[in-house]
Amino acid sequence: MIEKTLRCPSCKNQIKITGNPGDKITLICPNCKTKGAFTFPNEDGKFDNSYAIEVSNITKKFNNFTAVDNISFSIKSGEIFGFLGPNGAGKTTTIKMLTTLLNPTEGKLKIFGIDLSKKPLELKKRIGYMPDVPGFYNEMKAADVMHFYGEFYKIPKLKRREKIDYLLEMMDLTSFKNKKVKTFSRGMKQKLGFATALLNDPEILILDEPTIGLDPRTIRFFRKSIESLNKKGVTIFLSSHILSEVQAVCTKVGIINKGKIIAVDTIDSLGAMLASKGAKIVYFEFENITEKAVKAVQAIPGVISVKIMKEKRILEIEVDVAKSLTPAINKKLVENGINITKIESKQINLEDIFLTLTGGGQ
Amino acid sequence: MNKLIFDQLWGTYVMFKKEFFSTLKSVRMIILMILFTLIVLGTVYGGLTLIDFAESSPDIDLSELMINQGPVFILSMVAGIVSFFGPIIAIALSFDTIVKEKIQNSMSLLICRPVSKRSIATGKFLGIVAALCIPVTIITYLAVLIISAQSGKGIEFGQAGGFIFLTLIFLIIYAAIGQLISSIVKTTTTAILIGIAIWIFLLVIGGVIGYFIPDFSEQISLINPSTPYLISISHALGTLEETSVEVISLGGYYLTFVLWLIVPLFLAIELFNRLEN
Repeated sequence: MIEKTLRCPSCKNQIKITGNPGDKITLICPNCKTKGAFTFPNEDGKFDNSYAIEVSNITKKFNNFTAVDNISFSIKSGEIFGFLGPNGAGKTTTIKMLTTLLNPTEGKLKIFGIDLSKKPLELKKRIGYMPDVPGFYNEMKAADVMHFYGEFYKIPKLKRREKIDYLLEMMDLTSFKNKKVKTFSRGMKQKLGFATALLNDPEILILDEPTIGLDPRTIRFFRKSIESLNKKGVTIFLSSHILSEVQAVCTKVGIINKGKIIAVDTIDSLGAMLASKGAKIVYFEFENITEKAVKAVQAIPGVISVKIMKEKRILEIEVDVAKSLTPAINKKLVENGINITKIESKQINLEDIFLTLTGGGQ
Repeated sequence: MNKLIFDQLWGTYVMFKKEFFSTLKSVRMIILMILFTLIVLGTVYGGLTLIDFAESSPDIDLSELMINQGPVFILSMVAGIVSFFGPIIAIALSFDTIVKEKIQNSMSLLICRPVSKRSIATGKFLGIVAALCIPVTIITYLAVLIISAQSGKGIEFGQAGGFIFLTLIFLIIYAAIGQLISSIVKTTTTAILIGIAIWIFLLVIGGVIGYFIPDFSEQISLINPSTPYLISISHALGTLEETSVEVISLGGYYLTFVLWLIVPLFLAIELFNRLEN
């Protein structure tokens, strides 16, 4: 048991409490009746506030349409969380709720353990957000835009100027500092949006499709920046359509489809789960194939589907992962006079996971 | 709690500053203020010409009235013209203050900052109002100076101050109506069309309904903010006739004037706060 003396934030009255490490207790000041909560530190002396984002049973309805349907997930501090889903799955709606652009119809959102609906201004100071299409005041110059947004964080003018110079330099926009935003290309606007998201040195960075429509060089720049920020301890929430990008940088992914979360885990764990549940793909390459041989392969128990590719030169065979069917398929093809030149087994990647879970592979 | 209030005020201030300078520097503002200057000074010129004409007019009653009231008569004329053209100038300044943000997608980058939607709406409104009040005060004060100098009769400080203050409030009412429209609609075209429709509706509707229900024409005329504006201007200038406030008291007109300011402003802020972007 730990004994702790607290001071009431309202009347400064001292309150003695006891509890076990990690216990969360609610208390009422006996003097002024102010309600409060306290979490005892863990045995290592640290407080358990490791979740940067906690989404609990969130639903968002627009009239009769349910855009987000009772979703729950949590992201630990320091993680790079990839948020995936087909168009219209509810990704942007979820992000808009996390950034207070929309209010959830039901459920609770917590940032660093604090209810977002209760302390939105305080929490927004700790969040950086870049929308999928950042819109700016076109008549303003890039530096003025940054100063305007920076002022909301009460960053002193001199410090703000240094910060803006640094961020514009980082985004390779220094020479465009005094140019009006309306003259900017899409990529430059994305970079400026990224820079404005970093103005407050956010602890959580929420990026909605940051690389959509950008050239490979800029995409690479964004990826490097995300990784570098994460190394500094920033929690990243990355919504993206580019699965390779998510696979390359994210430590954990959440997949949303038709407003529901269908999977939240590390890419490796999801791959393992998918493999244990279902299928793997084997490719057989040859000079040519006959209809009879294809039918013979299809008849093998455990073969789920057979697809003829590249002008009858490759068979893509989806097989039950529990059975080792490659030798049987090989034998059947040879029996049918097919001269096999190459056999390849495909590793399950994020795209397979995504397509399987969202039904896109059907 | 104090910190929260400070945060709210700070957000309002940042928004105010941005809106104030961008409105003041905008081409639209310059054009509208040139128009306002032409309307006000044109009316002043017309009024001064009328007084000159009255001095040599054979109609002794008219001549006496104009010469006696002199500058005050011209200010009443200016108020009458402002009550007609002023609304469209104020609406033209504020009709897109919110909807523009939605269209250029800058609202999301704004709301994600540590600022509440109420602070955004309030700051925007105050910024536009301040940007509107500065040139309008200068122009109306200039009109007062010209009238005083040309007519050779001074205008009392209270009369001039009352005229300028009430004119500002009248324009602010329409700026609030413009922002209310902007909070609801989704395109700038819809916003300006609704703004014009409201302007015409308020100008015409009171008179039309009052024509059909003459017993309640005074009450019905309150549908148009111009009515309490012109009554309060007459009061400030000391030209109010007792018959004008027989049905509705002077306090009633002032109260209506204040309500015309508060209700659209409250609705503009609250609707913006509640509607999702």
